[in-house]
Amino acid sequence: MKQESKIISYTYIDAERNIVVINGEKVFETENLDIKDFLTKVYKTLCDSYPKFYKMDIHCKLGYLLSELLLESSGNRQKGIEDRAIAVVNSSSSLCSDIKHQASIEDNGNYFPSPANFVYTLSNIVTGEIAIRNKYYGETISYIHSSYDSKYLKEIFDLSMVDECNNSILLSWIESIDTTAEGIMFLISKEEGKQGVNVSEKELDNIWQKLKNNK
Amino acid sequence: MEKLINDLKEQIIEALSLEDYSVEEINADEPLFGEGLGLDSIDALELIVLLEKNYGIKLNDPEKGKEIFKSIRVLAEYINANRAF
Amino acid sequence: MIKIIGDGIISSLGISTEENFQHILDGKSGLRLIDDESSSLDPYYSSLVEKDNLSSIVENIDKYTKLEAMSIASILNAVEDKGIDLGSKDTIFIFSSTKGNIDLLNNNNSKDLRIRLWKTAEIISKYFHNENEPMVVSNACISGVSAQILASRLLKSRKYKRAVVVGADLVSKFTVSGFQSFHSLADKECKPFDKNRVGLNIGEAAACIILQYEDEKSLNNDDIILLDGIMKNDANHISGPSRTGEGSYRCLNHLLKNTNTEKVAFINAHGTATNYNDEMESIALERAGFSDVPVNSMKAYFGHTLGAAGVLESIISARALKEGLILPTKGYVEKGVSGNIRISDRLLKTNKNFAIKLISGFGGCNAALLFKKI
Repeated sequence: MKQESKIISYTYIDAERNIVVINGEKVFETENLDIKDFLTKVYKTLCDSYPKFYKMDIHCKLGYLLSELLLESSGNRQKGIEDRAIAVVNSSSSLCSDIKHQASIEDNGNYFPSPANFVYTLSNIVTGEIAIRNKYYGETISYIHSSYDSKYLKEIFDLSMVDECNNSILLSWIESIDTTAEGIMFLISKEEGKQGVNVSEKELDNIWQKLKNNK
Repeated sequence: MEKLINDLKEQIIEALSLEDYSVEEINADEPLFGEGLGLDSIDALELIVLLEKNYGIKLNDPEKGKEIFKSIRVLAEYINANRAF
Repeated sequence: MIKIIGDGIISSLGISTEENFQHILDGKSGLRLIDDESSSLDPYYSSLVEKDNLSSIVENIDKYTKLEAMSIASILNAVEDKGIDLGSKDTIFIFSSTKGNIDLLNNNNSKDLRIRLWKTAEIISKYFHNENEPMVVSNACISGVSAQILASRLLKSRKYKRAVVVGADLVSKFTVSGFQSFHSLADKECKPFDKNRVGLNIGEAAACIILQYEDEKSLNNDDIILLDGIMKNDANHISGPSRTGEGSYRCLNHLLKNTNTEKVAFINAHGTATNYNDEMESIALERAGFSDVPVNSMKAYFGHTLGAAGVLESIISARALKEGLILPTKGYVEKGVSGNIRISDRLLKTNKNFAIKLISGFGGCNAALLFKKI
């Protein structure tokens, strides 16, 4: 009998509310830190040293932290594999960096576009950061969708598995716009013998609702 | 020269997001690329922006950057010789 | 089987695939020197589309932004005389773009939904009265190929019968300034794989490819099918290509499961004419065993059209394969890459029936498609 694909693990960060959740359990919380300071605190407290972290924009920092906490805590990092896809979904693309870039070019008298910022004006860079960190040589892709949508995410998962090269996926919704900076990342696998919850639209929705309602 | 070197260290820490470093921890003579601070190609491009923004020096050929960005001291000497303001 | 049933191109080289293809055969380029302060403080080479040229094609064109109008026009060209109802439930739209309506962005309007790619995709698909929520792929420069791979997965899973894949991007101050900060723009027309290459040109375009699921027995001679597609990451650097061409190599290697190097008529590479990209691709191509297969690049005809490139260059490649032609690489004179590869520098005939589209993008992503002529 073919095994159902399973959600092995998931992480959630709400940088506005200053919380980090792993598999439904709040593992870190502070108060009144702004988004950037909060993410730095999470990095310094919970992650191994990785100086590239500081160069990332908010969107990538979120994605990086979600992946680090997920992979480390679940014991499923498996560096160097080619069959793990990385997919990020959001609605505002790289807007947090787009705004910075736009500001640097709006005034011809004070015109200093930054290459370090410009590279982050693409919504897929976060998938690259995760691939680099873990030496994942598989598929990396970014999708744009209007909101967190469990049906859509399930579809993205199903579509990634149509390709027989893919056995697992880091699938995330990451949104950083204005004062919002939150993200959720799932590790879903179709490999035999993995522990977890069967992946379904309902499950992806339940998890999200619980996180959003838990103040 | 020492003041320029100190200013440069601060500016580089900010421009290149080297948040784990303080001015005291950066050696003016250690390599910026390769070992030392381990900067990469984007950092080199960012230093070119810094040169223009803070010192009015326009470097149109990124390849020239390799010689100038050898270390902070070498960079400071170049700035001293070529700065517009 | 995933068959190409229609295609359309809107670029500086024309407002139809036929026009674009003919200009390429005539050796024409859409690149010219642009001296326009609204897009750049310094002049630069690019290939631009005039929105006015589309006013007889797109109804109520003033309702649409330039990018939307280009996208709609490319779909109209693709579907012309085909008798396809794009409003039907079994048709899905997939939009590929890196920055969408980025020319609208200013310091005060980041909340404007028109800048959101999902909104742009909706506006485009609603022009054709399609009620399915369109999908949006924004995957740096490989978007257009990623979108075709997504399309083939949707069609293989029988969720839809037909996918309208449209890739589009603009040349704007936003993108020109960004590439200028990377010092990656050439000060003349680009020269892919050439010893004297100095960088890329960016261009704007919209391109549409319509893919349909067909049973093998209903295919006709000379039909072009999308046989396979794959994406791989270099896992090396977010903007610089891997020195070993890792991701591109793995993509090419994967495609050899469904063909072999002797059967491939040509490979249309990314060939942006930057120092590092072309060098990396040559290494990947040699590593994968494609040293004897002609390689070409379209970048000196259109410039690098970002989110449109993967679709635009696939259409041209599929057309060339259909006609049994290997197109030359405009701008190429003398080999300037270390990989042992054969760069196509003249129009040649071929009777081989496979072609590959290879592409790379920021974020370390790489992708490739395998086209087959029946």
